[in-house]
Amino acid sequence: MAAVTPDPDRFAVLSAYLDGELDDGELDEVIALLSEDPEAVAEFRRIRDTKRVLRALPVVEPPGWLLDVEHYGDRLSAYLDGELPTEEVTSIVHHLTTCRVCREELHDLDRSRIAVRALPGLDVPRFVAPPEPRPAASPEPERRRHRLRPRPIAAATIGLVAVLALLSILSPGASDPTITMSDLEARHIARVSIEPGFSVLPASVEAVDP
Amino acid sequence: MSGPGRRFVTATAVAAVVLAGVVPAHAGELSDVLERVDDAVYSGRQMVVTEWNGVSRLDVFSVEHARGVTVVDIDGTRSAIAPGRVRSGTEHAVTFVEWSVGGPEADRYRVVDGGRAKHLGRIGDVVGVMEGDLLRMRLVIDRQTGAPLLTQVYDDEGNVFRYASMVEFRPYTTERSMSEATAGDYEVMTAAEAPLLPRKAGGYERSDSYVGPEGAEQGFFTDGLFSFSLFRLDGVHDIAKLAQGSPRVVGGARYMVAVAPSELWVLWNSPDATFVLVGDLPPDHLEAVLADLPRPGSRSFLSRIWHGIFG
Repeated sequence: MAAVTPDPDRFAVLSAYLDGELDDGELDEVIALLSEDPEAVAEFRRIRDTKRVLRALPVVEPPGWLLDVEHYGDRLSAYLDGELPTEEVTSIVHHLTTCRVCREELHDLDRSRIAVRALPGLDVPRFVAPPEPRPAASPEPERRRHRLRPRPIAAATIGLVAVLALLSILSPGASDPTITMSDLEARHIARVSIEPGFSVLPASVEAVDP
Repeated sequence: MSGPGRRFVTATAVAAVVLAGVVPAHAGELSDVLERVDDAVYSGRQMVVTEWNGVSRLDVFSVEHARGVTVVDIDGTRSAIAPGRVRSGTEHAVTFVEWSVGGPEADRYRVVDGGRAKHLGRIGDVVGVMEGDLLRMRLVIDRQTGAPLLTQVYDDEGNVFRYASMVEFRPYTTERSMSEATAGDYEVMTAAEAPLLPRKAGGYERSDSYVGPEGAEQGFFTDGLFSFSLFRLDGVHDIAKLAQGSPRVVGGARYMVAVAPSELWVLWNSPDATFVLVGDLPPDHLEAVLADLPRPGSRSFLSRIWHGIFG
């Protein structure tokens, strides 16, 4: 490797150049410097190569005892529910980038929530529900109790099944998507942006207005 | 999570690096070319158009690119994209906190030197990307910055199906702090197994998979140059309510296809699920991929009755 004379000012300006922080005039000066000064070119390449190596370094999960907060535990549920203040959300998001345990716990929590949400709703049977309070002295006469009659119930059930079956045949794609193309597009772009040289643009698909 | 031997990196570990390309370009590995494009610092306006089966879509937008961050403004909607994260307008902010790296080697492609060309008065290096004997992509890369001045992607008959060109160009960014554009809260995506998605399709390999809100499984596939996401939504959704597209026959099966300026969208229903594919892959690649994925189809009469009643 060629010997390079350390020059703090030159390092600063090259670093700013690499960070895209120079304006047009400063940029011209740096380009002139790089076209005239072989030492500057060597230093530029050294900084660039260093950054390239840093980027390729494997990530080591820090042990839990090194972290300020070991794991967020129950706070992850509150995070998923959107119940945390902004500063804590920021802290959790930062923590999630380094803690595989919390990421996995967050993922499990999210899956559980999705599974619970997917469960069918149940009406509480009348005999379980607490009786509604009645006025002490109702002027209305006491209602007559009707006995359950099996035949009408069976007929109604059969009718309901027939209607459901007919609906399912007539409208095979009846379930409405709760997810939108914009959601999917954002996820695709976020993932593809990791790949070098990606070229996908956001907001470029015509989604149907909900 | 993933197969053995895969490495995962976190979003914070990927240092945002900008490498301005003052070193003259040369025809090397495809990954070198893509990395150089990714590392460029530039701003301006870009035009992108995709033409597929007689349907074309075009967009012209402002773009700023530096430190691995791209900020685009399309019709007043500002979006910031950093490695693994996107913030689009005020509605969508998604970040991936883990992903697999070192995907498939791009041995499908080789890079050839195409000499020099001028675009917008700037000197560019012409790079051809060959897939066998077929010219698959032609890039004109700005010699000073490494920015892609012009990109042409070809189908298997030699026709350009996607064209991207800078129409205004500045070799610097006008935003003082690109990283601030991505600041804020994000919906976090973590890697997860998606056993119902294939590992390979049409020469593309699944790098990783995720399960997002609503239980939508996402598989990310790449061949080292092009890529696509395949989403699998449980149940049969009405795809006409998802996106504006046209019914098209691809490989003998009927799909709904939507053409966007920089990608293609394909939607279809299988008997038990709804699939959405989005990516920048060429039409002949798309046909090969779709042939390896679950085919469109509907439930049988009895099955529809059963699922209609019992879900």
